[in-house]
Amino acid sequence: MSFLTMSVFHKMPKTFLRICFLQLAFFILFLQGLHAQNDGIPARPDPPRLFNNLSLANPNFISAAEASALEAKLEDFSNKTSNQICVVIVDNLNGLEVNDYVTRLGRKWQVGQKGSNNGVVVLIKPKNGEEKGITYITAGYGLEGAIPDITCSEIIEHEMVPRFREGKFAEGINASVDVLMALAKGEFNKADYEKKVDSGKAFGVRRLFPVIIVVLLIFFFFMSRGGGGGGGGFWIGSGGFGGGFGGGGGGGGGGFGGFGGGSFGGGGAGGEW
Amino acid sequence: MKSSSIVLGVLLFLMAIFFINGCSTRNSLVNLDEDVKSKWHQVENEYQRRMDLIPNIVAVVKNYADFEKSTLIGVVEARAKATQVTIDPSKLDAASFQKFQQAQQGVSASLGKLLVVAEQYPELKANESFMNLQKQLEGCENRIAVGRKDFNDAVQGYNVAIRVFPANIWSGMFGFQKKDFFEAQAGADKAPDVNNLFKK
Repeated sequence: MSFLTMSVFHKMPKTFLRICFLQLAFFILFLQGLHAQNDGIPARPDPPRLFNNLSLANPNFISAAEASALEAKLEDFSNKTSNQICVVIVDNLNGLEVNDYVTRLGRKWQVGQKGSNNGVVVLIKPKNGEEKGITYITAGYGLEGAIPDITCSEIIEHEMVPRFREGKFAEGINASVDVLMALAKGEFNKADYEKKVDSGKAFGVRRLFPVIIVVLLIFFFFMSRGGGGGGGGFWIGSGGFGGGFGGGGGGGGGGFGGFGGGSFGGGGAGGEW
Repeated sequence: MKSSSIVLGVLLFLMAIFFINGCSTRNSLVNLDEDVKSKWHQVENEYQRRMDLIPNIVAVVKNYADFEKSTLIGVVEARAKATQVTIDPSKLDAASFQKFQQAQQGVSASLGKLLVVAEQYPELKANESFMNLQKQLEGCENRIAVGRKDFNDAVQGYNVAIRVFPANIWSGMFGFQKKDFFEAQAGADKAPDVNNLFKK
């Protein structure tokens, strides 16, 4: 692309170039439009939150005070251990299988940290008239060992559903989350996570090295040849490197650092009440 | 003298850009290629997870002395057969996929039959370890479906990447070829619902 642009740049009239850029702009807009297509999964919360009641029919599934206490507990756990437990309440599953829905949601929201995939999604679809309540717990790749499918099923059967049947929703969620936290802590703590992140960074820089060297060589070549203009070129080169490297940072902002980029394998178990 | 050095400079510059474009294209295609391979490993892992469950299922079911021996033997044999069919990750083609698929299909069918037969044994059905194994089996089927979709997505990403301009120039030169999807067999596109098997 850059090769083409460079070679034709001086020969083309300005209006033609302007049309080209306009087309490029439209193309980018078009791509973004495609990207934002509706996949039946709610958008990631902004600012990021770990407890999300997206149900319009049951805005008070748990009270506001209980919700903020739960959010604080989940955020605290995320900050201390890097494990992210995300509780989501929805009105319907948009026609998807519950397992499919949860897996997609976990992936779209990127619950858990990148590389360690230590997220958990607890999905609750409250009872609605004749429709049964549905609940499902799934753990990211990194927590599959600590929280296997049977355990998800046991938590739902022993902690959640009996309390939900009595209408004690906040109690049921809290009891389940407590068990999940204890399990997740056992297998994965923040120290492991930091080690992983560090090794990941070192790997990234190492991979960039050949590119940096080639870029520097080219700019040095032009500096030595062209003289005057070369200095500017060199600085542009180094600026580009800094920008590319910083791009990996997470988009924080809320009460906690934000979702980290974890992924899910599709396991877990569900229940009804 | 001066103009010739400018021409030489521009030529070198263009060559450098050409060279860098080739390098970066090749690198990104290598990454995509590796991505496809690692996704395939994931698919195999998920199938392996299911195979690892089978000895446990057999061990539990065996305790029920009057359980149909032929069904159990069927499961064990299908598993043994499927264990032998592995795919060399550097040769991910439609033919080897089909072989793999057939072997795994044998396991699915025999497991399905076992669950249907188990329906006739109320004690076995109520056995806690058997119920747990069933849940694990369900999780396995779900994971297989997800792993397989991820693999096909990776293949699609790779196939698009080698064909778009200007990468298509390089992909031909470096020998990156189109990859096959891991197609589901007719009727096997959905993970069998273990619960439904029981309701029959």
